[in-house]
Amino acid sequence: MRRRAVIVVALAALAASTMMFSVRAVAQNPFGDADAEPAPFNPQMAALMSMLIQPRHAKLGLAGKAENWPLAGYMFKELRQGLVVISRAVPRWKGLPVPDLFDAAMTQPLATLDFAIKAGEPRQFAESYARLTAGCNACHGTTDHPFVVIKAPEESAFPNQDFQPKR
Amino acid sequence: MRNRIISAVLAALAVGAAVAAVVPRSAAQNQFGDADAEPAPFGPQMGALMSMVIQPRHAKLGLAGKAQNWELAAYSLKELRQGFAVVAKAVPRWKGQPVPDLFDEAVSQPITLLDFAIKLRFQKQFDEAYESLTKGCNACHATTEHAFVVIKVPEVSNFPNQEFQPKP
Repeated sequence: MRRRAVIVVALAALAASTMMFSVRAVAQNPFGDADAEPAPFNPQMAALMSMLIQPRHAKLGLAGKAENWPLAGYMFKELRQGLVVISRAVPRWKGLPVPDLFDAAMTQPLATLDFAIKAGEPRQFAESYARLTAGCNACHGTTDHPFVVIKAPEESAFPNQDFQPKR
Repeated sequence: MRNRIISAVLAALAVGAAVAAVVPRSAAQNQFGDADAEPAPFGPQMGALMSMVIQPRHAKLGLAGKAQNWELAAYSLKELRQGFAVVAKAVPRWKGQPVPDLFDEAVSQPITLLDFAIKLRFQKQFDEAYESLTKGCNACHATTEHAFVVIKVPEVSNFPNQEFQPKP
């Protein structure tokens, strides 16, 4: 009796899973529909941060550490431009005003970094860069992402790029 | 004396920024834009495309060739070549300069040699062609007034979640 019951339950489970598979095929696939039209790539905040901001923050730090001021100047400009691009692509994130968040977190350290790079002052650069990094983390804290902790890079993550200035 | 001037300027900048922080800024004054604007499509330009599409593929190609992982090297070369095509289509002219022509001048010959070296599995030829490719990158950077962006042959991997050694 018990054995028959087990067989019945197993058959019912098999039938249910077969039905679920066929119904799920298109509508419930969390990754989408293979027959849909290709959609434009539209990266949002996390992807933009990883693509535009994090690498530029690292390269800026490495260039400044190497006292490669032309490269630091270029990376500084690229980093600031990256923040502008993100503000335009995602002006509000979970209701929060992204340009205003960036302004509060970044404007002061960017101004002092710009000055330090133009003056070629390693100590002021290091201090301003630390403030910039603190600004990143303050913004992450404000936006409920304090677990994303940015820090000054100690070594290069770009083994195919030379950060030393030309002699 | 110079340090005192710099400290004074930095202090002035800090005071200015602190004042600016407490005075509400209009959207027009915010250098990062306007939170109430419509979202704009993401259109990465040259700097972003180079960092996203070219620099990582150049590194992976070098690491694959160094490990004599020819299958991966062939794939990375194809991806790198495709990356140049994508960048040239996205930004056909950069500061007035013809990007497809710049790429052609800088990388077509080394890419042909790399293709040959990978198919024949010649380490020495691969190394030479990869060096030549890397020089092409830097020559193009110099032509476009970015000589301070210096590309080199990678000695270590920056992809800790990827294996570059060929399968035994």
